[in-house]
Amino acid sequence: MTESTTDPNRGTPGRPQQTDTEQVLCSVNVDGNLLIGPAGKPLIDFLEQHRIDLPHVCYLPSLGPIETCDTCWVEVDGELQRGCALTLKDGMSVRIDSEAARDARHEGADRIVARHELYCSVCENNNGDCEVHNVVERMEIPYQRYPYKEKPYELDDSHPFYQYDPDQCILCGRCVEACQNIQVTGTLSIDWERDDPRVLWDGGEVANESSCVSCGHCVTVCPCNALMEKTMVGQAGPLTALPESVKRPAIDLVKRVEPTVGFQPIFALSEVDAAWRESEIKRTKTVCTYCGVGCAFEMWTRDRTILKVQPVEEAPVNGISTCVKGKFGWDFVNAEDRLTTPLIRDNGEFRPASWEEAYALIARRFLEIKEAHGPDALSFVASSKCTNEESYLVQKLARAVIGTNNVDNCSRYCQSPATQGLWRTVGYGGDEGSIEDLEGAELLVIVGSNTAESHPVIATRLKQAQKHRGQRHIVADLRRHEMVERADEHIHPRPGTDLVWISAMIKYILDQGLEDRAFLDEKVNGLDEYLDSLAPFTLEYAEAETGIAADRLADLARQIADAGSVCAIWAMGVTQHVNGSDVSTALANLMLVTGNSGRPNTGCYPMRGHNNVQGTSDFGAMPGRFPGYEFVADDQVRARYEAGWGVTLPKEKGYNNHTMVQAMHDRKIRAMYVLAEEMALVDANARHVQEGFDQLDFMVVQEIFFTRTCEQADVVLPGAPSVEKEGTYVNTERRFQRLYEVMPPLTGCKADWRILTELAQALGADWDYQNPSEIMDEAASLAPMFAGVSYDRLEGFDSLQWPVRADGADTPHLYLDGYPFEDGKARLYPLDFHAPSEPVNEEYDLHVNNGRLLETFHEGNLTHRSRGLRSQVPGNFVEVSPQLAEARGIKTGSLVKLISRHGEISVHVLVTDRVAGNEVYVPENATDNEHAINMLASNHADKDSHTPAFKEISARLEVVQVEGPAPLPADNFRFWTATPQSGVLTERKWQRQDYVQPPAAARNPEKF
Amino acid sequence: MAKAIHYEVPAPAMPDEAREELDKLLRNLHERGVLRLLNDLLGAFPEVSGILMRGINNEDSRNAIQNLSLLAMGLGRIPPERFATVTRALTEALDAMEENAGDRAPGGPGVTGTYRLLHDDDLWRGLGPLLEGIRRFGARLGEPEEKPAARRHDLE
Repeated sequence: MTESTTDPNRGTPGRPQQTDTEQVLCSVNVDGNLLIGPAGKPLIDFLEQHRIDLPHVCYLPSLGPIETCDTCWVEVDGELQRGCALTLKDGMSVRIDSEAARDARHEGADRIVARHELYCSVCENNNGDCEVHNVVERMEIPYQRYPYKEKPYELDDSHPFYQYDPDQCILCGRCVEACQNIQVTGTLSIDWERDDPRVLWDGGEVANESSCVSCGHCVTVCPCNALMEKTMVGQAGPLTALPESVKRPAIDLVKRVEPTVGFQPIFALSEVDAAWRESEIKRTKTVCTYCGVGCAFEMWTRDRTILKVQPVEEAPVNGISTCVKGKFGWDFVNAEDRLTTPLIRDNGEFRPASWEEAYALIARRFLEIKEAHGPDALSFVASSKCTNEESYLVQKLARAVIGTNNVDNCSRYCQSPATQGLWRTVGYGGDEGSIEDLEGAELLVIVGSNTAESHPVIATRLKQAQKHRGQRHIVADLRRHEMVERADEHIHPRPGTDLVWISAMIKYILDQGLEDRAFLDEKVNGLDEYLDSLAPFTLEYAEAETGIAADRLADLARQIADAGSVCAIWAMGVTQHVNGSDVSTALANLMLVTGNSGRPNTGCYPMRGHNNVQGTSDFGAMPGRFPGYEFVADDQVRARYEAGWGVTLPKEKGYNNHTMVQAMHDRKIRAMYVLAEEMALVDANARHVQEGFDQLDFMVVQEIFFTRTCEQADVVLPGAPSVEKEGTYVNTERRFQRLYEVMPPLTGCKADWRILTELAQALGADWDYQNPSEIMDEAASLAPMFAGVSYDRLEGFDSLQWPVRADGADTPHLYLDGYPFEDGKARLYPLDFHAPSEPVNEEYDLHVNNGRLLETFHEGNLTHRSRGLRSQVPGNFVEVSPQLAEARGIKTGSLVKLISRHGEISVHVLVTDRVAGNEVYVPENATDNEHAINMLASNHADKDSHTPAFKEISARLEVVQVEGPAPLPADNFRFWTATPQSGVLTERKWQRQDYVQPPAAARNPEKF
Repeated sequence: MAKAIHYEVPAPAMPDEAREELDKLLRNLHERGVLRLLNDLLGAFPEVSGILMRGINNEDSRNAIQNLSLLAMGLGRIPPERFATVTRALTEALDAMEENAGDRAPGGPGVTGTYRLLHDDDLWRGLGPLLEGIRRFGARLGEPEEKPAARRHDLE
């Protein structure tokens, strides 16, 4: 048995943590040639850098050594070893060309083709990157030495997104490794003890009846066609569409000829086929259009058909990772109900119109309203789904063309309080460091963030850190979601009381002398005043307010103070309260008091919700700030923009998204332009918002589907989704990434930046942008924060984290050199506690929590158009605790009404212990008034940022019908129990009686 | 005052995929010069077809077509594994010939050498099949000439 560098009792870490500064060079002898490389570097990666081919199938840098494929044998000091498990050591002597090593590698390859039928020309994976094909061909394996034998299992196509073909599976274990140690869900395994080993899902043979979260890692890393996206099946090549009745006999014919002619002519044919496909398949880098993580990947298309999403290791945020939406949720792009023509309201109905007519009408009405009521009678809403360039144009349209600062975006509904909290304390309204800092922290404090469902790919990185490097997680949340299940410490405070327990912990830390005194003295202002403000926050007071025992809080405070590096993560569970800005501030205060800022692996990390909600604010779609967060009231700044744009600009701060609604009711706002936001349903107290729209004289909505907001419009303009245009996004860690046009806009639609440009021209402006890069160049020339941002510097998978200096130097960590205040010091910010709005009382006795689901995004206008996603979550529902269900005589499937002080919805019940007592949970998973959670929300908002208090809803429950259909299908992943293990457990394969180490001939090569 | 009104987005006209494929094919044929070649060919069809027919319809071409067909049919009657043995043997024989061709002439074997050759079992094992093959080959050459198809018919 060869020595392995992996410990079978723990998982193999994915990405190497070693940095360049830690590298020590060493010399290695490879086949008589002396090479120099960094000690500890994986041998295969090192050889690849030197263009030395050591065949391998199961090894992937992101996964580390798995040691299953037996194709990478080398001789080290006369002993055969698997090359994938070796790392560079000084003086190491490696023989790749020895006869023993070559024989062993060939034996490994022979075994692989004994369990994988090579029918490349009709295989969906014959696209030049099939690793089984490439290795067998490069090794010049002449023919099928061991006969191929089918396995006693059927192809499993039960899963909505992918299929598993045991007959093609080489049992390399990549999928298992990815599931267990990259995604860290722990669904997949290989039962090495079976007579015929195979991949299993929670120990069973049906993929869809499992805890699989459909992240797609397994399919992405599969080196052949064993795991295949269903969108590829029959679509990939010119011959793959052949019916099985033709394909199978054709394969059989070739297989009869193959023993005579060997693999060579077969491979020649497959090469021709792959080249043939190359002319058809387009691979375009794009950035995901769902959450704020910023996953980048290649999208494979043939004309408008999306074949698959293929993540790549060089993607700076996600590497090989995706979630179910990013990997599989793109059906909406080619949905049949895409808007394809401008629509004009005419005599109580919409009629199709030309672009010219639509532009002319908008220009006429906007100018009439401006003339009659002034420029501040118009308002503009930019989109967090759209690009930075488009956000820049929206705010420029509002400010420079119309003359109003009434412009905002949906960060008002989510993370404006976080931004406020960071502005108050550390200076920049963005995450302090990078996702790598989160991974590197010793301890994470996660508050009100269902990271595993709302920011799934960041969650995978955090789960990896926890599993492989012992990172600890303290999670505060009302609901028992996955991060809570995995937490080292979980607290469940009473709703709306986060400020109290956080402040009490800070007071305890300071009272006990546990603070980082040196850091406070050197880098932080305002300690004395802050100390005074903490007086009420004793542990006893906190216990009474939050329900968390005083000694538990003291213990947690000590853990935070004692940890070497801590990051705070929070999301909507913190911000969507009347004191959202204050709780965000409190978390920043906690990090400052404990010295967890201004150095790697520390700081504050609010999780941005939408793909470009960070960038939309960054590029000035805010009522009081220009791009780069400079104030519109600042005369110097305004003068710069006036010179750049050649106009006079307004200096008064405008209405924000939330205050716009009341201004509509008050008839102060008469016209509105909404770019790609479902404002009618995603703002709080949705009925009130819709009634506000009723008051408008004129409304324009630019969208890709006819949404509830479109119903209110006078003109609807058909825009384009992300894959039909170029541009840039900024993710939650302030990272710019470029997206390329995957396909041209659907006939009749236009890229949103082009629509905005043409509309500005109709309004008399001299805009002449021909490409989004020109817009970015203009923004970079005006906003110092983005001075060095250019498309050239964002080529391919390159990225930049703001601020970006003119020379292109970016800022992965914001405060290593101090804070952006006059004296370079951070500030502690005193706070008071304000009780939450809409308290539970006798009439409204349930607290209604709400948020996202993994399978749907926001209200669902995009994800509901994916048949696969919809099959997992067919409709909206309410999660009810077993205690509450019993008390009300309801069960899973019951239809109930939830009635708040502001509205009501009807939903089916899901009884689950994810919620407790009288707390219920309703997902944001609805595109109509009957089911949308925000029909229940109030007009209360965060006192400092005006973010609606979405999380402060109380309601009563009325039973409509006890019997009813379960809201989630039985195969939904939530109903299954994962089977986590340390990894592929390859040693069990080696322990089989019938395993012999190559080069000895295998006894049952077709089996494993 | 803009009250909400609903609008059903009409289903898009189904894209004419066949037309799109045809357009693409036409474009590719044009860009690769195939259309021009075919057009030229069609334009000159009477002349070209006459030349082609004259070229094909002569004794040599007819023989070539028939002989190629015979070769293909002959190959079809040989089981691949047998043919593989023959091609391997042939390759080895050629290799051996090539190796020996470079050697200096060893001179005649002489009486003793000839005697030794007569008792070399390996040599006779090698020559045996060859001589038997030559014998049958000679016998078949002696048979009257006939069309292979007819012969196949007779055998049936």
